[in-house]
Amino acid sequence: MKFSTKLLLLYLTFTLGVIIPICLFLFYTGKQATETQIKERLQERAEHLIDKIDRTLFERFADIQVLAQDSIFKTQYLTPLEITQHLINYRNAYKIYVSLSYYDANRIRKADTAGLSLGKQAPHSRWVQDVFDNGIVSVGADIHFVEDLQKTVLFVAAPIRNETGEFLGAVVGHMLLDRIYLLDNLSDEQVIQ
Amino acid sequence: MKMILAMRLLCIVFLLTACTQEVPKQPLKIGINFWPGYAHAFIAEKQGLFKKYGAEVELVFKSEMTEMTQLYKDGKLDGVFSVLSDVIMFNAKELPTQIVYIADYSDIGDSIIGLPEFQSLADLKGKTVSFEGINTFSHLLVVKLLKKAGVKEGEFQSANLSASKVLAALEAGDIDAGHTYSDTRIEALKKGYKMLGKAGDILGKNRISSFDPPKKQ
Repeated sequence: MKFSTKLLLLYLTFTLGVIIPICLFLFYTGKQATETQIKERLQERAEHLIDKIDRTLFERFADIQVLAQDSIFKTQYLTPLEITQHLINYRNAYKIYVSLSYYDANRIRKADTAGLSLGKQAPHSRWVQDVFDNGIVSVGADIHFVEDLQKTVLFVAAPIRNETGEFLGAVVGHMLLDRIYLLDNLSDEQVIQ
Repeated sequence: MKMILAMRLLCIVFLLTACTQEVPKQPLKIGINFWPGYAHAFIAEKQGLFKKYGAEVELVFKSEMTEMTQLYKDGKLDGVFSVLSDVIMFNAKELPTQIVYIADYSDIGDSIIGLPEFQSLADLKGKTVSFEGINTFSHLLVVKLLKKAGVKEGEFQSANLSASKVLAALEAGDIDAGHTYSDTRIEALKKGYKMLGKAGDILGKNRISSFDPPKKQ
């Protein structure tokens, strides 16, 4: 056998018997380690994001209740303009809402910070069911495209009741869905408005 | 031995070829709409001025400003001919945007056109005024102009309507006035509708049309 052939065989034996198994071992170990790292990282990010969403919705739950309990809505003979001005002040303080609306007990929109769809009845949807039929606060249960805003919004709504518990209407905040997407990029401090 | 050497050399050649393979350069997609102040961009494209100065640019025409803005937000455009307030909103929404070119200033181009019976913006108290998109330049313009005329937010009703649909809505009686521009504005004035307010009435000439950020080049 020629020397060059022997050398080639030695090279091939060394490659197949030593280098390839080592490479395969390193490849699978590395792959597994990378997969574990990616999984852990994604899980951590998902948990963090869910926590941010949870906190954001909880804050909305708190501030819509504070707004609904405002004595201004319980004042008799209040004009829609006065309600609108009050809602505008609130919107300017809590910039998270793209608009805020006030509905009377008949689901008619009496005031809106953007002046949209005044005098129109709220179409049947999840938040209407929660607030008008079940009398509960609705936060994030309803997300849909709103024609007059031309945006997909998350609804935050609370019933307004007087001291005797009589249902007077509802206050509704429209929060752009972009805000939820943005949470992924914001730091913890920025999340709190 | 020679065979092994040849195989190794071949491998190196393959690797080098793979390393030097060029990714084809994509043109910058810039959204543009019907604003006359942007016309020179089309002239630049026709005359090959972008290429002359080393920029591969594809102008993407959209008749609706809102559609164009959405494409930019979705990352389907690299830049957009837009307005200053919208650039502020892009940045507020974590979409880093820079103004790289001021194309035009608006004076009478952006106007509030109303029914002939109105004498001024102050007559719009309690009436329905349209704007193009909430929290946009159009919305801001309507609110600021009316505020200057003594009509506060909440003292007028609104309609969210594309600027190109304002004339049809005026004719249908759906709105009393609305913000519009370009050919819709000219058509409405020809038909006897009245210009009640213009961009130049607030903060001088407030519309700065801009060319936003090429992120690639």
